[in-house]
Amino acid sequence: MAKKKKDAGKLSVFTKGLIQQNPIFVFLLGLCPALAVTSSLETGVGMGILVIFVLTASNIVVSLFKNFIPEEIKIPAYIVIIATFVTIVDLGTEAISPPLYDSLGIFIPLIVANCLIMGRATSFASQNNVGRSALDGLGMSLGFGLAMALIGATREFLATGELAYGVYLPLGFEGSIIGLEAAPFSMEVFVGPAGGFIVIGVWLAIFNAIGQHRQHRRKIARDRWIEKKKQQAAERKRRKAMEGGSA
Amino acid sequence: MLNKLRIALVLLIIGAASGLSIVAVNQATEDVIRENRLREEHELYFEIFDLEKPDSLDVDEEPRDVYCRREAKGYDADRQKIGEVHFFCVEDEAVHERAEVYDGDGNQIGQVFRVDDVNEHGEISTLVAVDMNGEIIEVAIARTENTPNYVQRIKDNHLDDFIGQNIQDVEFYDGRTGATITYGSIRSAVNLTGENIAADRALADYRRIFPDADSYEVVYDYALGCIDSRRAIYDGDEELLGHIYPAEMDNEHGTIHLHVAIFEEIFYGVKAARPDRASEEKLEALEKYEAYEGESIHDIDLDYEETVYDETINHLIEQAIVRCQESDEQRELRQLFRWASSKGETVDIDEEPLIDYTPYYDEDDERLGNVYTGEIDTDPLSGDYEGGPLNLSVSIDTDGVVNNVIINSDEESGFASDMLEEEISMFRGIDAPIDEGEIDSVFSGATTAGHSVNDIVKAALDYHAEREDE
Repeated sequence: MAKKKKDAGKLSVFTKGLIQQNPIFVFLLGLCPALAVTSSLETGVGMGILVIFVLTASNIVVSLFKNFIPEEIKIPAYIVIIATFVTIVDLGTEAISPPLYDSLGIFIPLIVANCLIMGRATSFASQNNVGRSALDGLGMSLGFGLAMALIGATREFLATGELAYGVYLPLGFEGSIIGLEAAPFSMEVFVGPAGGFIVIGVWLAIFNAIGQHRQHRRKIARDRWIEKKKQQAAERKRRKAMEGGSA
Repeated sequence: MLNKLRIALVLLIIGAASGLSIVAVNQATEDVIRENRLREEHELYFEIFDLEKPDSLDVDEEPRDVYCRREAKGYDADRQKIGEVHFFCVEDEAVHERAEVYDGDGNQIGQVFRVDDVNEHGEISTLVAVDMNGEIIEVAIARTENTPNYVQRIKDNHLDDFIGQNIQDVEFYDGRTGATITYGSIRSAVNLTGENIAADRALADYRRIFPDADSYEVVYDYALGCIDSRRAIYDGDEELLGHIYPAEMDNEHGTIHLHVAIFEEIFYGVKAARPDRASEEKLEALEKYEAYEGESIHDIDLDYEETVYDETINHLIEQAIVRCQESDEQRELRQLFRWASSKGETVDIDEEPLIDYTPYYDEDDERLGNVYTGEIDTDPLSGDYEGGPLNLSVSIDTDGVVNNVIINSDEESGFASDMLEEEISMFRGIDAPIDEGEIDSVFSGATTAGHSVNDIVKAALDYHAEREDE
């Protein structure tokens, strides 16, 4: 029973970052790359993959050495750790996928300044064990990557009428998931920064609406539960009174 | 104390581990990154010249006698050669290398210059591709650290403007691009390419007179007259071989471009610039002067005039002789009036921005016109220009026509200063009554220095017109 509970806890550490505590749509963290490099699905996914590596690896290392790093130098030490992984990612991307490297440009080194990574290092990895920190990093970064992919896909589709693959990522083949022969719209504004703000705004509104709707449903369910409990208590009281009276 | 030591030790360990990891990854990826870059670059050269995208590339990086760095051959899937690129290093600080591009049959179809620059936003590497006629095929940004949005805007909207223009006569679009720093680097890359191609051609021409010519430098740049400059020609050991005077003049056959070689009063020859484009008649006319090669300049018969070409060639040789014999003082005077021989007393002017004027005279003491000096203390508003005094001399002849404008001193940055020097010649020939539009169009850009030059020239023309009327 205890093991099951423990597993459920681990699962929630992993899944909470996907939607419930999504870094971009719920915590509004990492908005700079979310605006800058999501002009296409592939660049969004590419940045997501890089963040998955950096966040998971830095969470693991921070968690491993949390007891050795004095409180006074926690922040600079974490920055050095994160910067190391970012540099590795920077060099690795240039070697493995030059088009993605060119496309993401300055935003790869800027992962260092992504508050999501520093935030998870200080608020989670420095207080939890390696396994939980790794799961948290993986879950949070996957949530970040999913949000980036969603924003990128929306912007690319609205701007070009298609969703291409194999252009920036080294897949070995090229094509498009959706390719409208004659796109009914070609709104170039969505490739630019203004389009980024609009798309993020719309998705934030959708996530907020869903969140509020779920909260509202939860509130109704809770109210019903409380009402039910109240009724049950009143019934019990009434029965007790009746039993007392008959006695 | 112990705590501080512990902190230092932890930081040292983290720093060392971080450094070692980065070094290891750098070692592992260095070759791959370099290979990627080379491949990308080679494919770009094939794409620029409309050659098929190579299926495989053989890159030979063995140093050879003539190739400074490497050659790359591109093949299709059937191992048929699509084309090849030969790379040469260029001995120029900014121009990194020159690549000759050949088609599958081994015919050269053009060349590409790669110019590396570091501007305020970081590095930028520009490729300028020209065909065998000097026509620009493409201007591309190979690699840059400049602001991506500006770079994209220039890529999308302005690089195509260069295509089809001749590299020696390129029109730029500073007004439309907002004269951004990135566009400034591209402009400078195109200019440097033009200069390199012109220098290569010039050197090939000079070798017909001085076969050992290896390099040259412009000793004097003559602003006025049909002699462009005096160029010192050096051999491989940097020994001075002689002087060449590039000269040009219009006649009924068009503009005649010649190279006249004179050194220490000895005539070394006169040859057509770009002989591949010269008419047979012109080449025949030039052949007659071969008889005087190695003779004293005083022994050349300059009265022989059978054809229009003879007349033009004689005149240009005569002008080159005048230039070769003039003193430093004469040369200074002739920068402002071509035939100036002396100058009169300088008279102060109490009318800003003018400071004074000096009358200039020819050999017969006839007044040629006045040279006006003006100065404006420009404000620090234009880009990286920090402001400061801009001092000019404007020569205006007795007919009220601007002969020349010279910048005596300015505080402009290198790029803006070069622009001023380049475009200032457009004032020549402007006269009173002043056409404001004509003057303002010389420096239409938003630099305060450019406007100041316009203002000084306008003031000088106004003042001169008033005085001459009196």
